[in-house]
Formats: sequence, structure tokens, C-alpha cells
Amino acid sequence: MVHWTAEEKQHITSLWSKVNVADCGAEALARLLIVYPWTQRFFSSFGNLSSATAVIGNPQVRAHGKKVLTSFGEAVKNLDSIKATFAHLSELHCDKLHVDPENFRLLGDILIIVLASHFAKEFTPECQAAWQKLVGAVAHALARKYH
Amino acid sequence: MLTAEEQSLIQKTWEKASCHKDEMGGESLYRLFTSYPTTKTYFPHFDMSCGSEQIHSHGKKVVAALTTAVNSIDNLSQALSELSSLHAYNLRVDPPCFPSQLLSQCIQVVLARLLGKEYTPEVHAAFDKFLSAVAAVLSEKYR
Repeated sequence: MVHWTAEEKQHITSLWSKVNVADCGAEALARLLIVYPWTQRFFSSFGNLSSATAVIGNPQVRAHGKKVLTSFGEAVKNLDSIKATFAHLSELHCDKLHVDPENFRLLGDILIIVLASHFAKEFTPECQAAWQKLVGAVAHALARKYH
Repeated sequence: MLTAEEQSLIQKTWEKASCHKDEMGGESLYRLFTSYPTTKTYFPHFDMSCGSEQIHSHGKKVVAALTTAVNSIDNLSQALSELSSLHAYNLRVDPPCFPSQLLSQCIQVVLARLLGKEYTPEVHAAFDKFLSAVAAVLSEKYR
């Protein structure tokens, strides 16, 4: 189980309350597909991903980004039981989606950069550290059921 | 390989951030040490407190090296040759790529905070690629 200090929990929940999940989710997923184009292999049914502009404007990317970040929000609500929260999703990503867990780390880091660009003032080094710990914990939980 | 467009984006972005040059490096390092405490093992002699003169001064060196890289972006290998030798034979940061990825992340967080919306997905992609290229050059001589 991940141990969180009161300060870390505060950094996480306080920033999360300001996040527009639809916008941030869309932006994070779009950036994943743009910065690490090989990740597009998981989204071959999404249509036009041929340029940064196409990716950013793609409605399926937007919708899926919102879905992903909404799911991420479950970790924020369940900081003390992240592994249990993502057990089912871990199996899904292994057995059905066949996603290399390295990609969870990439998306986590991208989310951090999106948050930094939107919340410059709040995103202090201590806030970043709490969030890096969180994305790491989520990535770890999502990889846990792989076999 | 960085495309001409990416090179231009990187140079323009670095120019935009240049008025914060003095603090950027120190902030990146402090974020590295705060988010990834294991990286402190490479600086056992440092005062690790916020605002530490050692962190600030080392940060300036890192930014100066990156500025050299940005200015010789089409020949990173040569521009960073001495630093590459230093990292390989003296500093031996190990494993080569892993801490560089962490520092790249922190540098990008600093840039994203500074530039906000201007740290567009295109700029983000170009910078991520550039910092990976720098890390690769720095680990060229490891073995």
C-alpha cells in the first residue's frame, strides 16, 4: 500500500478539484499520441491521427481522453486502495488491450506536464513530487495483474 | 533525428525561456531531487535545501550546456563531446538513460510552467525528442 503524508494528499486533492477532466484528459491523450507516436498503435480505429492538428481535433481522442482521466480520478478518490481500484482495469489492459505497461508511465509523465502548464503557480516542486508519486502508483497498479 | 521544423521550434522556445535562464536549471534540479530522491545519490556533498547555492549554481551549468546543445542542434555529438566523456568516465551516472529521463521530465515541467499554453503539443514533442537526443549523446561513451 502506498503511504501518503497529509501534505501529499492535500496537494493531490486540492489540485484535482481545479482540473477540468474533459479538457485535461483530452489534452493528455492527444499529447501521448503526438509526443510518442508509436502509441497510436492502440487506437487504429480512431480515424485521422496523421498530424498534431488532426489528433488534437479528433473527437474520439477527446472522448477517450476524458474517459481515461475520469478513471484516473478514481485513484484520487481512493488514495489508500489504488491497487484494488485498478485491479480490473489492469486485467483489461493486459488480456484484452495488450498495452505494454511502459505506456502508463509515459501517460503519467505527460499528465504531469499538462498540469504544470495549466497550474503554474500551484505546481510547486512538492506538488509535482506528490503527483509523480500518484502517477507512479497508478502505473504500478495497472501493471500489477499482467501475466 | 530532429527535423528542421523541430530544430526551429526548439530554438525559438529556448529563446522565449531565456529570460528565466538563471533560475530554470536550479528549479529543474530541485524538482528532480524532490520528486526522485534516489537522484540525490549523485550529489552526496550538496546542500539539498530549497534555494541552495550549490543547486542554483549547478543548475546554471546544466542550462549553459543545454544552451550549447540548442545552438549546435545539428551536431550534438561534437558540441557535447567533452560532457559526454565526463559523464562516461568520471561521473558514471548509472544507468545512463534512466536519470536523464527523470531530469528531462523536470526540465519540461519547468518549461511548461513558464510557457503555459505556448508549450504546445508540437513544442512538447520536439523538446522531448531533443532532451532524449542529448541524453543519448551523454551516454555514447559509456561502453
